[in-house]
Amino acid sequence: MGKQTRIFLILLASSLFLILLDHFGFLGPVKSFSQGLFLPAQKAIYQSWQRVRGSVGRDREVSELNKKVQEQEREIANCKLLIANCMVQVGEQRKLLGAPLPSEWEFLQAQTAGLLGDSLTLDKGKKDGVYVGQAVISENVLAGKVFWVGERIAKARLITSKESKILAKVVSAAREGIGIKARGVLVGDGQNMKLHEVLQSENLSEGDLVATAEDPANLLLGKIKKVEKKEAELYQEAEVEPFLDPKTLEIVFLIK
Amino acid sequence: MISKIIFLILAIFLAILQTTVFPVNLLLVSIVILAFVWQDEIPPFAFFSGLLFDLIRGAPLGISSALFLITAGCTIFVKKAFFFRHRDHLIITSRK
Repeated sequence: MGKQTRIFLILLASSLFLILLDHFGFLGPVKSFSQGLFLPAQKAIYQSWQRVRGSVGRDREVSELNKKVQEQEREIANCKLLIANCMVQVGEQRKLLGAPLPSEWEFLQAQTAGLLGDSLTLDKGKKDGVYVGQAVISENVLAGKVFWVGERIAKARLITSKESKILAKVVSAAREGIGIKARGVLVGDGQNMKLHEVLQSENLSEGDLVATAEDPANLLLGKIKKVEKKEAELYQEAEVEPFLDPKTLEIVFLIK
Repeated sequence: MISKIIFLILAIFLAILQTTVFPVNLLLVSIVILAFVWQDEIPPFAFFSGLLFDLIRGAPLGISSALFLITAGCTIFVKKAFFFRHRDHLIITSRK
């Protein structure tokens, strides 16, 4: 038997002997002394650990709470946005309901998704039944007509567009005589519109209302801002100011 | 000698640590690791580490000593058996 094995066996036997001694209570004072010796170190280590764990735990709790607060703030912001959108939609629909429009007309609500030049992008497309030529209105005012339809979006040309031509009628806004005063062609010039081909014999005046004479009829377009009458010419012209500012449009309706 | 003193201090620290905050038998792990390094000298260390551990945690004295001794013995045995089985390969690779 080697020396190392002998040491190993002696130590193992000592361990067993110690177990026996301890079992019969002979090692009580030794254990008591050693525990008193190591207890301060144990306490110190444990308290340090508690401090570390406590601070880490508190930090974790605080960061988790912060995260939750941020999530809830985001949810609240989303809800607010949703409510604001709903309020806008409700307001627009209320206006539409109040507008003097034919009861047989059906409307498709669309949200504006962009305005590039004189082209207004809408969030409705082919799948919603949008087609080229469809009138886009806000209240009872014509905003434009659809000229391009994608699968999920559509583009409408504003009535102020240079490419827009609408048969229009002039309605007197004066108190003394409400009625159709003249007919003409309304052409956009980018910002405003111009009413062409109005006979010289017609008596246009500033503030007169211009409405559609073609289908869809009787939709407001704008009001006459300035009348340009040239005696030598066959027709007179008038500058028309649109009722709608396309930049402020959020919700519009497409006449089905 | 210095390494043994360091191990003793380390053993005390590990014993306190595992009886207070860390519920893993760090001493046993260190005995296993050291059994590979200090093959012939590890039994006394295993014995005294066990005693220390029992004293600190208030357990019956000798139980951990016996456990650590048996673990160290097994580790040394496994190590020797492995070395014996692969000695030719180990010699060749060491010559390379």
